[in-house]
Amino acid sequence: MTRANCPSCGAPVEFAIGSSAVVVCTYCRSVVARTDRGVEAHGQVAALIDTGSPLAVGVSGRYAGTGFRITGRTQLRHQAGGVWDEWYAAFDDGRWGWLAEAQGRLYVTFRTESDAPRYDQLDLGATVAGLEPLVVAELGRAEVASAEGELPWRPEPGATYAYADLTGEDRRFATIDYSEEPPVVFKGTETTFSELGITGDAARTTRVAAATLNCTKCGGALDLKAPDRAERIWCPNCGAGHDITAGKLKYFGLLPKKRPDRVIANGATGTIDGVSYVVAGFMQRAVVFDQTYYWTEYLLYNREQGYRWFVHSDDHWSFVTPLRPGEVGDADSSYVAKTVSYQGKRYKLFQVATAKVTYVDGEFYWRVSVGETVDTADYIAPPFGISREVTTAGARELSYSHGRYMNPEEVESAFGVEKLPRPHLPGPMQPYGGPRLGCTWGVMMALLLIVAIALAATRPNREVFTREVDLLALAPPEGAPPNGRVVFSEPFELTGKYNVAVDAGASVSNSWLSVTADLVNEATGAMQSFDLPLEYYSGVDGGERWSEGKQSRRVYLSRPDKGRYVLRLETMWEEGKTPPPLRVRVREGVFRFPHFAFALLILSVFPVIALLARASFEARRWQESAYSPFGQIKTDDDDDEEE
Amino acid sequence: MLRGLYVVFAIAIIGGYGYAAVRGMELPSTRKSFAPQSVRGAHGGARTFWYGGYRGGK
Repeated sequence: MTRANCPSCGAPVEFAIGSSAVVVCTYCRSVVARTDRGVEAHGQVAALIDTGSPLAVGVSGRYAGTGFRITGRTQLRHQAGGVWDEWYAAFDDGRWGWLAEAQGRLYVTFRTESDAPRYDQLDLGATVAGLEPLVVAELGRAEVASAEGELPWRPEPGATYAYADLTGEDRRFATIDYSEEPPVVFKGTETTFSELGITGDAARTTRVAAATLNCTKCGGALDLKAPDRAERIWCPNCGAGHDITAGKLKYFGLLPKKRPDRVIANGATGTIDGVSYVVAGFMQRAVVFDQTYYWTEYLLYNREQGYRWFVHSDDHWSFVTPLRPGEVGDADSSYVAKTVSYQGKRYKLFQVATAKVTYVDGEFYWRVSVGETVDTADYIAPPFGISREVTTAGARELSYSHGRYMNPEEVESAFGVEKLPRPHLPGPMQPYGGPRLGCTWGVMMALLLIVAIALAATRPNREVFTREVDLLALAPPEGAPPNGRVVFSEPFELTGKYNVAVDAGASVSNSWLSVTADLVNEATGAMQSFDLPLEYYSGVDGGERWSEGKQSRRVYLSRPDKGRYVLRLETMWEEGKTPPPLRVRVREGVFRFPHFAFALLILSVFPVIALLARASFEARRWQESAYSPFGQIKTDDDDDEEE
Repeated sequence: MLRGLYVVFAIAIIGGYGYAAVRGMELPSTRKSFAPQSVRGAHGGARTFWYGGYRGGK
């Protein structure tokens, strides 16, 4: 430990950490650096802005089982206007680390010796050699605003430097600091205060003196829902916008007088997925295609969960959770990809647009204002969606969020509102509400197939009679015409267990042979009569061959009673022609494939109707998309344009 | 709800198909009639009848 006196004010300063380069005098805020000749003052830093952090110089905690103690802090100003803290921590194992705290998130990082590319070589959403699979989530410039305690580098108030933040799965995080040459890579993870063993809830409320402030224009009460995180607030009475800095309000402008319709008031509370949220802010955004499309968003806040969004568009609602860019599988994240993946689910690109804020009120965790634009790409996998937003004004930031569709009934139940209008067109994330019979149909098909295979395997297909008859060799019965004959089979036995198939065939050509059959039970005299007409005609007409009729016929009979049967065949052929030999066959226990096919068809009717209904729903859903898998759907407007 | 109804419907169809196949049932395609014993028991029996069915018999 090194003790010295501040060169500016003479107050005692102490270098407790061997590797620290400077210490900020707690009395005069001079930056005191130690050199081989002693200590030198290097100007003063501005007073710190109270960020309400539970962290403070001297606070101890544990990270991944290793204890640490915070020795200093730098306060940096973001291009968007807010500030964030980076705390310098000495770990018990001799390492040094940074605890960065921004927008309610906390990151622990350690300096590494990794090489980093030049800043101008970085792209949002792209990976960086040596840091894969992390992707660049933000590119910006930070301004040193203030500092305190012991630091490993000398802060220069007002100095700016470039940085790149990278995120990945499993909360992995890295930042590249371009304040030095070569740039320095810090790697680590996102963490929480509880994981660090730090409880500072009480401290977090100190950022503003009171959770209720008064509007600087109309004096109305401004009830802060997240006093420790809000950066900007609009007066609900007069529309005056204020920046929240160091617990004070600073007026910067008025809202437009025309206010969009809203169904949930700021300050309303609701419960979603068992978590209670308060509506902190409200905004309207718009995109312009052939016309301007508006939607509204409610910013929800829960102390433990942080911020969420409630998006209301065309009477459809979705509950939106922010994601870390590295959590989303975006193969072409430097540009808008056709699909992205998240937690194993593939999301299809639905729309790309530039969204503009057209109205805002309430409080927000960033300094949002009317006119702010972001480039958006919306992906869907109903009932979910992924939204990709790229901010290009000021710091370039890539952010993703995950949306879940909510029925109006759910919204009514969650926030106690009534009679929300119901949507009349499918929403991008709206799940199809009709029956999905695909899997059930598949199961039933499998069941039907099993039954059919079992039947085919157990039908004996037993031939009980077969004969080929030369009709001309038979004598015509008494009184019969010369072209008619009667044929009787030998008696055969039928088991009475199965159906019976009777086949008749003859090689008739441009002729006919009529066969009328009687299956006669010899014991009872019961007869079943049926026709087996054989006729076949063919020829060439206009150079094309044609044919019609059949040279064989088959008839199926329902299971006859068990017994002894004969088959009587009464035949007649075309006069003047020679009849070909007649083939006759009788089988019992024949598998009926057409019956199986008919059952399959019947079972498929409703699934096909359901499929068509779903396809219609999907086509209407994608009608609003320029990336429809159904292709561009022609509208009446298009017809008008063509005319 | 609709899925349940479809399951019931499908099981009825499959069950009906299986039952009909096991029982050897076919759609009616024949004309049923009766040959009296006098015809069948005669000398020559049923072998004597001609067009339009049996004739004669003793």
